[in-house]
Amino acid sequence: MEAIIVTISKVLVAYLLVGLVFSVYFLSKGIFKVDKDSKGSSWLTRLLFLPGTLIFWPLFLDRLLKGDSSESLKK
Amino acid sequence: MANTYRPVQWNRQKKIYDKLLWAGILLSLVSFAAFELIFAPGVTIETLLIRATAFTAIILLHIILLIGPLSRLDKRFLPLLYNRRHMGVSMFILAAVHGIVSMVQFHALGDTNPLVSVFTANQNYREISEFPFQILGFGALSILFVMAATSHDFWLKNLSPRIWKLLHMLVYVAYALLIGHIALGTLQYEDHLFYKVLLIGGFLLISGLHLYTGWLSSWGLGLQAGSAAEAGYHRVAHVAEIPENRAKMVFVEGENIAVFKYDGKLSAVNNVCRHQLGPLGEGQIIDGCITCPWHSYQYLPGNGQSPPPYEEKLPTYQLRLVGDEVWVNPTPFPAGTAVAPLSYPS
Repeated sequence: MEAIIVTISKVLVAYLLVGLVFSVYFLSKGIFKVDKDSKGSSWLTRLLFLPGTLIFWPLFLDRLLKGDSSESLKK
Repeated sequence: MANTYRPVQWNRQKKIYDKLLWAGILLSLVSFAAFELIFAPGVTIETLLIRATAFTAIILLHIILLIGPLSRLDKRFLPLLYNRRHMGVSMFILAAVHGIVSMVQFHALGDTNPLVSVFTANQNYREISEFPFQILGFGALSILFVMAATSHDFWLKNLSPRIWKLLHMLVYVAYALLIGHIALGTLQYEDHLFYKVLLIGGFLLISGLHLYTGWLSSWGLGLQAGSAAEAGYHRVAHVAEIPENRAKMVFVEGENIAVFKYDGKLSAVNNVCRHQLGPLGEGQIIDGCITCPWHSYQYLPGNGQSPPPYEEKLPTYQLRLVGDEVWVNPTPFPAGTAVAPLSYPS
């Protein structure tokens, strides 16, 4: 049981660390490519998106790789 | 309405709301701490912090879950609905303080990783009195974290309203986990009747009100199904039943419709706000625009479009007068389609 928990916690920490590295790029540059309303937003505002980006970073990575934005997805 | 993101779109009402909210939170924390110090003078500061934040957070969660059905029963509760997400984030902050201090207090002093310790320190799943209730609290806190982290409009837009709503409906799972967390934790060693009444009474109140408002809604649907249909139209109401600058809401053939009455005219739009899926029909016409009761998003009643430069659009519907009664065709026009308002004899 303990071995499973340890493994899961390591995978979780690794996932969040990758998310953290991705977030540095995403919240400083990538976000403007996927959401036009983020243009002109302050650093403080984008910092608020950090916790959520740590969780949902694969979604934004996928959109950046495909060149999608939330606007184009809506259409 | 769509605009450059800001941390919070402040206005006077939100500032008043937050001041009252945090005054209430501080009052609850201080009152609880005072009672603990009177009735359990030996309590440590860490335990006091753990208990006071837990108590205040669970009270706030009850209020959050009650606001929805209460505002459907009585519009005087609507101001509580406004800015409810600040209440949710405040509740998460309190729950996070409770969780972090508890982990430090009970799981960080050994050799095991605190996160691992939460799941492995106690594995006695067969004994109710010994059940590792911390796991349930950890699960609830994880859900509340995801909800707080995605509370900004940015997430509503980028996750899509449907996924966002689904994600935030997990609050009911978090509530169920917290019921278990408290029942298998605190209630196993706290003998105060107060805690039992609070937990059981709170559960009965929340579930009862949700069931009652759900029943009222289905009852309305049943009545409507019994009405005679005319050329695909469904009866909405007698014109006089709709208050001026307000709406009558109906569910017809899976469509959630709000019929607004204003300036001697009637218009029908989809009842779901594009922003956070708020019930537009519970709002009113302000400055000629349908105004959502949740965050004041606005739409023109004649075409369902937000006034320029905003871009949100609602599906619209055709209305017809049968005598003094308003009837609606539930087949929606594409979002933003102009439909001539229906004039009615005064």
